[in-house]
Amino acid sequence: MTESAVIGKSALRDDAYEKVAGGQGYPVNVKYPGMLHAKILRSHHPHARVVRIDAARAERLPGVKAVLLPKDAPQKAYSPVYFVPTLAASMVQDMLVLSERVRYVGQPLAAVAATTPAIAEAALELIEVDYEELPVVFDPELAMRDDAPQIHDGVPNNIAAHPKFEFGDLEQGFAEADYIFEGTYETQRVHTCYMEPRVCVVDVDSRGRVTVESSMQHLFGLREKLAFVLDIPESRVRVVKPPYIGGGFGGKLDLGYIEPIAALLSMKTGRPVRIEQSRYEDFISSARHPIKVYLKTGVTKDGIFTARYGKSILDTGAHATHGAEVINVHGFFGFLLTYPCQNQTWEGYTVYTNNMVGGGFRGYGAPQGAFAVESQIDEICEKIGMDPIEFRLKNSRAEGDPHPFNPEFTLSSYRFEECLRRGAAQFGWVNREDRTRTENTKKRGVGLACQPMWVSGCLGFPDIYEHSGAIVKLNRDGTADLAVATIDLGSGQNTTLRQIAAEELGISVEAVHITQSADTETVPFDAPSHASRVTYSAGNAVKGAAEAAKERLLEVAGTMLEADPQDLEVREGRVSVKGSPSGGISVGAVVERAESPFVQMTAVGPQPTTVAEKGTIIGVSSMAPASNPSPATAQFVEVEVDTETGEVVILRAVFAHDLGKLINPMGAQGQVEGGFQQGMGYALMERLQFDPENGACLTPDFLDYKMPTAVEMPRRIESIFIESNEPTGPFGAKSLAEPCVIVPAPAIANAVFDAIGVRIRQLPITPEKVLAALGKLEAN
Amino acid sequence: MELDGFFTPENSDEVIELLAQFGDEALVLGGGTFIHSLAVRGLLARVRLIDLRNLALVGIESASAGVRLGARTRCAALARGPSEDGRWLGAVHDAARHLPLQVRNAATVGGCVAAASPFFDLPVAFMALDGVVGARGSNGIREIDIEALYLGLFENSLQQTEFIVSVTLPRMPAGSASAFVKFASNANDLAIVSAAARVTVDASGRCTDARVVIGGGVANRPWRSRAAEGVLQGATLGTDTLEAAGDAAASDVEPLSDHRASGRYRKAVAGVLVRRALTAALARVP
Repeated sequence: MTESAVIGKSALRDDAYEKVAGGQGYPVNVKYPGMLHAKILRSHHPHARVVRIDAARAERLPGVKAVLLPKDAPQKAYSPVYFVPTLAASMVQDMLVLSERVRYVGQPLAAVAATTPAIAEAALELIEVDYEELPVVFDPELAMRDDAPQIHDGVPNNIAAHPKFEFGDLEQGFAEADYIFEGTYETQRVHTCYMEPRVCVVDVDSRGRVTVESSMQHLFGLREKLAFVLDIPESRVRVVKPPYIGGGFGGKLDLGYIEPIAALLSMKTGRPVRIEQSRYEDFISSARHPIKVYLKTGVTKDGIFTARYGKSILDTGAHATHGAEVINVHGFFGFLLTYPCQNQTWEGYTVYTNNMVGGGFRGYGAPQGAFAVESQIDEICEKIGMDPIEFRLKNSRAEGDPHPFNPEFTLSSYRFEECLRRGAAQFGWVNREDRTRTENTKKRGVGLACQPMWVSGCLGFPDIYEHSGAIVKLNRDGTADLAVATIDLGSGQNTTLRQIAAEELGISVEAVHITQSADTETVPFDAPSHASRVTYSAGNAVKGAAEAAKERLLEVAGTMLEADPQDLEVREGRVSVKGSPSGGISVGAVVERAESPFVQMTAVGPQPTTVAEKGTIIGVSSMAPASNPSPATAQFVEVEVDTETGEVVILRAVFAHDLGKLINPMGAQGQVEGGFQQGMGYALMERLQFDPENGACLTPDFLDYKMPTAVEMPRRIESIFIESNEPTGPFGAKSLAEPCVIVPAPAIANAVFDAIGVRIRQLPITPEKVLAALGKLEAN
Repeated sequence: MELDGFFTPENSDEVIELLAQFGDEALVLGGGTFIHSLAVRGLLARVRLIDLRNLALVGIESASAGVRLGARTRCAALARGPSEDGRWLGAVHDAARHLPLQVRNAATVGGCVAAASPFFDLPVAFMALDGVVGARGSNGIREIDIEALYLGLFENSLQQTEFIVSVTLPRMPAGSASAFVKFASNANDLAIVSAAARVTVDASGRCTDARVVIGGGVANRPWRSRAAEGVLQGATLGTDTLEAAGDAAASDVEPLSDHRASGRYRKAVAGVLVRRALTAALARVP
């Protein structure tokens, strides 16, 4: 393979300037002429039946154009999750757009469309609601009891899903163990904190066609789910692709309440309707699920797993939504597949409560699992006196092994050991005892955590879409237009895909342009921007489309150069005979020829050209990837704990990751650093909190919901990228996006233990928990 | 929030007229950061804003008697320092540096004092320096000890037709220094606990005067700990004394418990922060 011209070289984002100048492409900036603004009335009760709802006064308020009540909304149960068929058996269809039964504080009850947001807001106050309050339960383990309030009819013990998987003989495994470890690990509810709120504009025209613009992570998922809820054919819904959105991180992977509400209000009024959520509304729309993990683990004195048992209780809130799938990803990629063991049992419970609903969030169940598993490994190593790196390597898989999730695949590229070894070397793990450990009342510690197994997309997952498509069209100026349904969440997907197309086409990255407009009518299906899949899966599709375009380009060039297309290549924007780069012609000239009129007027009169050359040079692909390769990850951190205030400061972080092939170094570093920030926030401070009595949100904005700012970030975050060259990936690439969020929390927890000798098994590790663990707080 | 009027009076008398006219609905606008935070949380109903932009009230005037801060002086203007001969002002500079960057450039000295929030940083420092608030009313300027300005949470002792024009910090004698420390969740946070300390030390190393003030959620206003000051007064300020002062301060408060921190945590940290503020102040004594 010749040296890459584009791949592996940092490429600038072509939308960067536009974004800092206000970001016209953000859906929040979309405006339609004559559009109305809608606001949503939300329940104040965590569990109640609406016995009366009267909007007569609201309807009379000047400026109000329509009111939407439960009776006006289709009572058709659905699951809002984008990446599965709407009626997928693995999901739970338990939501209504507007229902007269509310199950959490903040559930939509009614909506008003008005000429201004302020009028709509004022009208909400005029809607009278009488409730019949119902008993509530906020703790999932209490919700599982026989005497608990029933949140959904026909769901005994409020268990929405209960997957269980058994391998080998667990009892035998425990009998063979020299040591058995038991522990309970708990995680909290956190929000992705994307910057752009959930926002949409929906326009239902006079022909009944629905046009939607929204800040979301899946063009086709929104079309499918919205059409289902509105009970209209999919083809009647056109979802416009945003050039980019202001962050998603998994938090925009499901149909919001806003899109169907806006659509129904637009149908009522005949005008476009816009809804923008407040930060509070965003905070109660989606979150990473809290999961309580019970682990029981048997190991030999030589550090080999003999038995692993896990039980996970997931608080899915008022509706199952993602909770039905997160529990499985958590079970497999947070527990069962992480380290091989002959005897394993895991069972999960997705439990309804009167809490807010959960959603997608980078890691999708794995962070909760990694916190438990990686913390416990640290406890095991402490007890048996083994280095945590050696322990993990004794219990790991190697390149060429069968893929544990799908035996049809092998771990064709897999460098877990190299992640640990190179990370350790750069961090100075071996000499870690030589560091300064104590300075006055501050103590320092180091820790590591791994994500040995992860995904590059969802191929092989039951019910989850995994295919992509692309259109590459060459222009007469030698550039290419790339049309995809893939949405850039802000993590630079557009740039990565441009690089892949450019490399394949032999032109510069600047010469590849992502089409300014695209919608569900004009581009092929793509699964969402999620599951660490875009570079690998959409990347393969883009490469496929570029290959097809290039094939045609070389055919036309072949007639021009009187050469066999097989003997031609494209480099730096020129087509030439392989090995003779000096001759040849520009890509633009070839396209010009293909698009020129068949007969051309010359000095000697009209002259025909060749019919076979004519036509736009275009390549189209739509395909599923060949595999689902696993990346591998190791994270090392050093922390300093103030033993008087309990504050934990991160001094340094080293991250090592096998990503197959580095496409855009600067983009990759940015993704790791952003991931560390989210992982660190999860470890130390972030949590959505609710009043334990009435379920009201106590952290409705960033004054009370705390995430790390630039000031709290470590001065050094070092990224080591290991290129294992995945044979099925575009130019050898697989995935990067999520492990960098999954591993910081356990690495930090392990470092805190190293510093102060006390283990904290409940996230977040707040200063208060540290002081309490140190015995420095008075008893209650 | 429903904005029912926005006024930019040209002088103090016009301000007072507007305050008299609109009563409870009138709010004086300095930097607007506090008013904004109330508005976005839906805590303001119908308001009329009286913007002081046309009144001078800006600047830091240093004289032999002390330092006078105009009410409209931006908090950012206090972030640099202390100078060699201004060590007694150390707490003010420390506190200004703790304001979130996004707030510092807009918030004003007068606004942060008038808000009567124990969670704000500068007032805690001002109280440790015996700050005096100048309140302009129809009868001229009334001087109020800053401790007396604070009645309770978000409640100040200004009369309906008074507004703050200055904060004066009387010059402390030679051998004086002060410092402020804060504990919060991140750099954009209000204090969970904060502490300001000021000491005056004579040639023999004996403490001749001290102030200890605790902010954050330890009381409904910045809390001057006379118990801690009693430990320091007349003592030689060794490690044990500072520790004892911290303990006395912690025993002196009954902090609130909320979703950000428990009362017992705030109590424990209050003692630590008082000791740290004292240590930092002492290190600044020339």
